[in-house]
Amino acid sequence: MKIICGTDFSTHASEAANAAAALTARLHGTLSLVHVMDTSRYELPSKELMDYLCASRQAKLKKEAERLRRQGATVEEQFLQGSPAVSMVKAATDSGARLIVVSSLGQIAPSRWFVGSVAERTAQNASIPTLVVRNQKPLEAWARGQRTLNVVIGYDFSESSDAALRWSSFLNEIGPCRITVVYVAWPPEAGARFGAGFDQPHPYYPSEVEKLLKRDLQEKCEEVLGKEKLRFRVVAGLGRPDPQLIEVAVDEKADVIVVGTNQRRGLARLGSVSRAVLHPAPLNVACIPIAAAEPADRGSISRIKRVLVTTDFSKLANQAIPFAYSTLRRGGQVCLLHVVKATGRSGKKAQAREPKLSGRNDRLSAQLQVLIPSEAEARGISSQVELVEHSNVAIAICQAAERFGADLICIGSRGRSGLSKAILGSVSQDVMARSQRPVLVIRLPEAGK
Amino acid sequence: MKTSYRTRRKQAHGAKRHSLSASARRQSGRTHSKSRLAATRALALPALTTPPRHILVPIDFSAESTRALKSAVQLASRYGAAVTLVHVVEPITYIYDCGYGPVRRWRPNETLIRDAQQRLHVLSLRHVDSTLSCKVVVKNGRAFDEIAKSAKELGADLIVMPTRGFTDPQSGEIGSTAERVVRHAPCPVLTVRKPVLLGKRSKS
Repeated sequence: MKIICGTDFSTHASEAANAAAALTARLHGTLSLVHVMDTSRYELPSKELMDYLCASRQAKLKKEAERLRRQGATVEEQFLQGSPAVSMVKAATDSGARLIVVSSLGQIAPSRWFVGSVAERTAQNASIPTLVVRNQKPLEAWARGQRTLNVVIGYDFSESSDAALRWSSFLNEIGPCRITVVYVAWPPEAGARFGAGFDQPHPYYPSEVEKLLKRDLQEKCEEVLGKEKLRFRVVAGLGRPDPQLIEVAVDEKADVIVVGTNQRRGLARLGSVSRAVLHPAPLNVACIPIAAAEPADRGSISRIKRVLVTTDFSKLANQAIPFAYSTLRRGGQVCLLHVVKATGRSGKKAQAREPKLSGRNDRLSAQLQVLIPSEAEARGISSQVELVEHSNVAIAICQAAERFGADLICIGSRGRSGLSKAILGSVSQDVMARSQRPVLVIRLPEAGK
Repeated sequence: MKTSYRTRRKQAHGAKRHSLSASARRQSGRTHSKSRLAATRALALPALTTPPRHILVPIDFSAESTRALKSAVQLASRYGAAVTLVHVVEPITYIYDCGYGPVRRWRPNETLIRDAQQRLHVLSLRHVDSTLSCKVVVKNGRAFDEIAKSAKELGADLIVMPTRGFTDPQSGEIGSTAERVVRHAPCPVLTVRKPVLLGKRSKS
């Protein structure tokens, strides 16, 4: 176990080194204290000057290392020349370290546009996590086992944020943590996904949407981490997610924000959330690159617990129902869905039709209930029926699947071809094209004839 | 002009729907709906089919198809099914002249087929658990045709494949191979897509 700590002998850097020393002492590892002399600063230096600079910095490094040794850490010094970020990252990869600790001045615009930050470049280039230390006290106390660490993990269902989530096991190794997983949702998108609040003005964010997002978040985290005690927060944000994330972290009195990073380069890094969090956050930030954790991608069907099956009561569509039940072995939930094509009536006309419609809805629900196979209960599969009215059947199905949290959508297909396909279109294909969730299309040719 | 036309059409449409439902009520009443219920019950009876025994995974060596393979392996280990990886190589087309004008001919691309066989084998070693029975097949022809055919030949009862979503999802189009496979396959098709990041603004 090795931790790399970069220092430029400033106060900030020595504070970061203190935190790093406490962490290594806790993990019984080695702290590699690195100072990189940025040779690009000196144009055509004379040999005497270089020798003098090297000697003086090495002496400083030795002194700093001695100071840290007195704190109880095993320290080795490393004096390098070159670009600070690149050399540090190279040293880290060569020595197989698990963490890079750096300090940051936390420059804000406009100075950060010109000055460029070593911390940022390190986070962008390293294949191991980078901890940017701004407030070393809680980290030190936590590493000594005097307190629990408040951790906020920014999560957005991406691979990089999976890496951030998985890194929390490293934190748990060091000491007790109180972990809050935060997802910053974009309300219009969330509304459209779940088919709720879509017709409302922009900042509208219904509580049921938040509940659904929280459920998704919880399930995803369980999938990645297993059963861990985590807290979840879903925040609505209309702008960029990074200020929201920082706000929540401050609100939670967090000591560290953990974010995954895609390590974007060039212009794309302007859109990077991790970079935008790293600079202005008033607390410690850990940037976890995807490469730091083992590949997150384990296919998209890691479990099948909830299956959504749609029917329009035709013979072909009903064939999908036994298939939906067959995907579940024992236990689980099946939702039978029927979408009524909305007529688009509103106002008085719709009111006049209300009683008639409720009668129809009751009838259709009863019809759906009948389609539940009798063996389902014996196998512990619970069934529910849902009736939705929508002008676009495929969208309604996808939204219902998101609300239900379906692991699989089962749909029967009429398999139209040729001219009739071009004119009539196919709901199953539309669902296949739109759905983010796996779609099982069932089409049995012999039954179709 | 426009509105009047629309309202007229709406009225006509509404009237038609009303008259239809009214006549239906007159004809049948409750008994009709009951008989319909019975009919649906009869349909539901051959319920709970068996889970898949043999899963076919078309592979085009893209990241998406690897994802689909991972999903298929998960399913297979859950149901104890066999997995078959199939790759289809397009044949080489060439013009052949035997004296009476040019003729278009095809011949299988042997190098690519051999290459694909190896790559499939490597893929199966990497992603498919050794406990599962796994086969690799390389076919020569058009992708959707050969996939459907091999599903029939091998007796596969599930095809797992990715939808690319290259085309705009809002337009309701999917990867053309996936779409065609659905139409030609003799068995259910499970399409898997890499989820678009939540919070990424989708076109609407």
